[in-house]
Amino acid sequence: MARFKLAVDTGGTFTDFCLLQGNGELHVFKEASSPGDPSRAVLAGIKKITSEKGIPPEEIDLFLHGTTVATNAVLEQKGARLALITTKGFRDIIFIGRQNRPHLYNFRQLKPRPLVPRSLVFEVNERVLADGSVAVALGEEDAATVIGEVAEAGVESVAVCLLHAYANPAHELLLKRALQQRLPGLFVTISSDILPEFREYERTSTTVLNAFVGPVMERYLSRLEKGLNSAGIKSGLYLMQSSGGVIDPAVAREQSVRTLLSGPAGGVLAGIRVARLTGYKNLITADMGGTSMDICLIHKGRPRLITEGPIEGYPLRLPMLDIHTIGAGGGSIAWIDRGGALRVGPQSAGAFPGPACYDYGGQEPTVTDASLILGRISQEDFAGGRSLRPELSERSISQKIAKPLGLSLEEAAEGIIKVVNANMARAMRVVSVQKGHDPRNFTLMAFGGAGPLHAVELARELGVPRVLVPPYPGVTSAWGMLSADVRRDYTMTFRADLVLDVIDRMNSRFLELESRGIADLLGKGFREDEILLTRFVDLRYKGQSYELSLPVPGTLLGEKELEAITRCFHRLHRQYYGYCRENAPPETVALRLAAAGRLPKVKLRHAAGKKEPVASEVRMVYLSGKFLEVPVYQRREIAAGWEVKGPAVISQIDSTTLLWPGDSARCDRWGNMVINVKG
Amino acid sequence: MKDETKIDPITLEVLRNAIQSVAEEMGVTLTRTAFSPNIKDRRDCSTAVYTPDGALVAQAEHIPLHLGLMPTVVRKVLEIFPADRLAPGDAVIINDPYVSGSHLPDICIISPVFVRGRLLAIVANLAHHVDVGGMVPGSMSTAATEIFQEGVRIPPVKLCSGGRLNRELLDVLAHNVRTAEEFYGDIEAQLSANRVGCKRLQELAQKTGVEMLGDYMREVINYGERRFLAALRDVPAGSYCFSDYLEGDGLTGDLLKITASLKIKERGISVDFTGTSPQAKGPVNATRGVALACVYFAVKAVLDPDLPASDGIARLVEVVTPTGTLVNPRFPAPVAHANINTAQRIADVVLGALAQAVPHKVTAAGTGSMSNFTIGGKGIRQRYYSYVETYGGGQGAKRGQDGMDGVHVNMTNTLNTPVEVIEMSYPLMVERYGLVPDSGGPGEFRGGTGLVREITVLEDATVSVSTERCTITPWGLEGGRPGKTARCLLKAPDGGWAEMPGKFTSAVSKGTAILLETAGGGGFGNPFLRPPEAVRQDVIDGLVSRDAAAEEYGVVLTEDFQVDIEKTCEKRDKHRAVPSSTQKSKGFPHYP
Repeated sequence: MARFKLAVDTGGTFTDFCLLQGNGELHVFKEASSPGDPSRAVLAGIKKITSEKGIPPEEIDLFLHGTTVATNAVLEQKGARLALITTKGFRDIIFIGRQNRPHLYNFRQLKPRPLVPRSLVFEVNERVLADGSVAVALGEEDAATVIGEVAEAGVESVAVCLLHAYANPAHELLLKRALQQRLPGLFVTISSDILPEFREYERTSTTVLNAFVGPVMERYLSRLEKGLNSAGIKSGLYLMQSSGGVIDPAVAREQSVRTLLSGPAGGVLAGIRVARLTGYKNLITADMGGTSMDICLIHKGRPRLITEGPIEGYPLRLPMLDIHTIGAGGGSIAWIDRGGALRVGPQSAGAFPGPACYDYGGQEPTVTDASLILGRISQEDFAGGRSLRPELSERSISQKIAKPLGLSLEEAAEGIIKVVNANMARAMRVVSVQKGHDPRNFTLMAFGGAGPLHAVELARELGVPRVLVPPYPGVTSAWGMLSADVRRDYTMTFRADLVLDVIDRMNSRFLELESRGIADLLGKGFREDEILLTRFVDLRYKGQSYELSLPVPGTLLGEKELEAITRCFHRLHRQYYGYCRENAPPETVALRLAAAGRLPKVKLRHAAGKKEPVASEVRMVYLSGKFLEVPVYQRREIAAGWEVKGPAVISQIDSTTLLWPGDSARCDRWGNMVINVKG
Repeated sequence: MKDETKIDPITLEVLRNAIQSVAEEMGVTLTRTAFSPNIKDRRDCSTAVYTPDGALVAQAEHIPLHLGLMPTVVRKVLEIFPADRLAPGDAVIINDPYVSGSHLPDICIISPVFVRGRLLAIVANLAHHVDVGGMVPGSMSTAATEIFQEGVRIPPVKLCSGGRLNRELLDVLAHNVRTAEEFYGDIEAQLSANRVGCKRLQELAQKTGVEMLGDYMREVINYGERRFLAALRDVPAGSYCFSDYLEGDGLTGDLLKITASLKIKERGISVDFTGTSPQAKGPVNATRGVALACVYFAVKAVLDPDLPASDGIARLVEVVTPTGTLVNPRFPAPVAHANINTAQRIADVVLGALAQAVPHKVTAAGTGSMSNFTIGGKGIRQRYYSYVETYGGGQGAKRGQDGMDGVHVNMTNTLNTPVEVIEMSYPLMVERYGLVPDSGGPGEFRGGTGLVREITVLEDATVSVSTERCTITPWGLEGGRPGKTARCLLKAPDGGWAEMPGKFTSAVSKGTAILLETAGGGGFGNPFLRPPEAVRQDVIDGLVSRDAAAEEYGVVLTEDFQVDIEKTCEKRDKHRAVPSSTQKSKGFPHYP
């Protein structure tokens, strides 16, 4: 059992900390982020929490960390200067992409500019065919020539992506060895290491992304490790991946691309944990902060993993949680468009200048300003005790929305909330209804600073019967990371009809993947009984250009299993796409293996005994066209078993939950606020 | 709008979102449940919601071509099936371009939405089917001379009455197509999409009230109209005329002219295609629906790219398409291929006219064709295969921005097929796939470059190419130079390269290489005003040659890629003194 487990999640404004003691006691707090060097805020926070609580740093056994270092390098285009090596004749793969333009009508919306300039893309004379056979062997001289070109370019990182390298990586491996020999210190990424799958553009893009962020991650981790060392922390450090599993720093250095879309992953892990604890196995998690909202659907306790997603328009083909993000948050700006409709977002005032009421110079009316006008949030203790100035909200909403539309101040403010809710409801339909799920069978788990404020109205709009607000909405992502396990993903292109003839080959390929997975995790100090292997096969009907990933038994596959897999594929296909072709044998495209190494878990403690908090104040809150007297409760005083009927405001340091007349809420033994939504 | 309902901008936005959600959910249902990759993967389909009188309220469109088709087809069908001939559970099917539509593979299904006996709305969807019969598989013959050769023609008829499917009708249709299984599957998907749309609109009406939902549906259209009008205020009133050409109808190489006279008025736009060539013998004729789509595309792209599709646009855009011309042929002229090349050119012509009014908002001409490339033959284990792909090219440059290299422009936006997929699926070897240096039209802002793909056939095969802009270059704007033309080359296993025309079909033997270079986009602004640093970067990146830098841009580089300031000044000064061809090019195509 771990003595202390620490999770730290770096965000744009705050770095969140969750420290879990072996006896189940939890400490949470926030530290202002330090964008220049994010490790500063991480180390400062650790120092603070250990000294304040009198915790010896060496008793922190596990340190789980969500970092945006790689993500920011891409967003800000501040990654490594790199070169790319391609097969002769295919220098432009990354410039052409899939030849589509990003917007049908907007001439000016450009394809993302590749992270490597064309002048640093070098072709090498070699050719492998689709079956892995070599049509043109890579000669030593040709290799030397291209390495000479790379040397001359003076880059710190190089990506290698050759045609059909997933089928035969020999040439890439040869180049990797030669590059490392000739140019020690150069960061080398080859596509067959990162993504041994067909489709050259997506593979090149993923490889280039890794080459771009790798050196940045390397520098960050070195700084962080040094700081941890001098702070006396000897725990294992683990970094969050987009898949929801964690990796150690050695893997993160080589494959930092795997952390690129990890930002919202902690929130989804929190959802999985809550599903397990509470028995609400079907959840829609909604993490709404200042600028965006991340939505994920958890069905029967499991989120869906997808194999491709974009970052800044660059395709990234790696396992990742299926998270839908829209530009709607507390800072979303309300505006009137040229057709006279009230619109909210996607532009956001962000943390700076922020909503008008922050008094940082923001002039635009935001969702937070509207909430303040309607009395839904407190002007005193918003977002960690910052005091807000309602008169600035009033001025902004009056001038820019109410007057032009001929509405009262409150009508305009309520309108802003209605419109942003409509945007969010539409996004939630995308992840539920449009994927074949009925929202009535789900619970909405709302967190992030702004999530609990909008949750009940959203649930009502979608027909979701129940809302769950976790105890610490503002640090839910970090809290979710506490339950993460190590996860390594392996993949292999395997194109064949799914028939008995190929089963032996498939078995031996899976065993190859498994021995790699087991060896890697044993090497990291896991015992065999802590390792969990899950096999997947990517299947499709012939002629399709997309696949479904299907978990398959971990035993030797035979005729019986084959039939079961086939049946299961038809069923899954029907669920996702509404039909199946039972007479058509599916085609396998790739084999995958997820190897999980179980990290020690700490049992959570039940929330403390029953208390009867009284309303700390009665506030006038505008609901459905009029101001009502609404009691305000302090979340910190609420314990398990407490119940309340709406209307009510439940206020806490980093979030506010709003109940309408007819809604009722109860605090469960884990400290979650469970709200029954009036239909 | 009636007086009873007070329209407020908040409810408008909330319901607009909700109705758009319905159209999108219909679209997802259609792509999820369809059988053929054309609909599922290429998403060659659209779904939409209409008022009871057939005015478009919301549309989920996946390709711009449907922008103009969807608004027209429902109105036409409602003329034949007015409200009193429709009942709950009905569905009308139609694909006849001579009633309304683009070409026969596009099948439209239209269903009324009733709430308590009242017609609340119409929902409809349009999907491109793999095959609808006719003289060649895929129903897209390049040699057809009348529509009867292009497949089965369906007038508006009820496929479902009161929820009951007319199975006999469906069987008759399926009997006339090559891929009956896909046909049944895709039609079922189209019916499901409409069922979902009906159900969601009924649910919405329950929440809001039928009356109110009806009023707001009309208000959504008014909203579109207001937004369009507001955008139109940025365009100076006046008349603008533009012409451009197609390089033949596939049967002959005779040039076909498309002319548009555009009038910007205070309350709308009119586009008159009088002066356009008579209809062609080959299947490149565009129906009025296709012409409308191209006009709507161009004005929307230029005026307000995010404008939601609705009847609000149609109300303000008047389009004249003289009967018997390339943009509104007389029955029974063939029409299948209008989508490949003609549609691209119609859009170019409208953009060219708009460029005279608002040059800063328009791009120069782009690659100008969907560049269709087909290779067919017997492959592994003697199984018949057919590789079909459309290639992008250069986007035209615009003020302040170079054109994109190697993209689809105008009316299409389909993805390419990865090299690795081509090679694992067909007996083909891709030798090269890249950008074409020096193909982007020189300008202060450079046109995008064309694409080149070279493929060797590993077995005997039949090759078919259809591209444009082989002789008529994509025009530049505001002194920008035209992009480089397209070309197609063939290399027999033992011979040298031979130039081919832009449209041909030919049997080739094993080992033959085919190379297709698509056209680049036109440049924008005088190339001698392009910052030397930008020219230098293009040379370093290999997209512009040293020679072109000197000749076209007047930028001379030293051995080590530095700008030779002295020689560059000298060249650019001389140019200012003696006007070159660059300054003569005034945004018109030059043709042979």
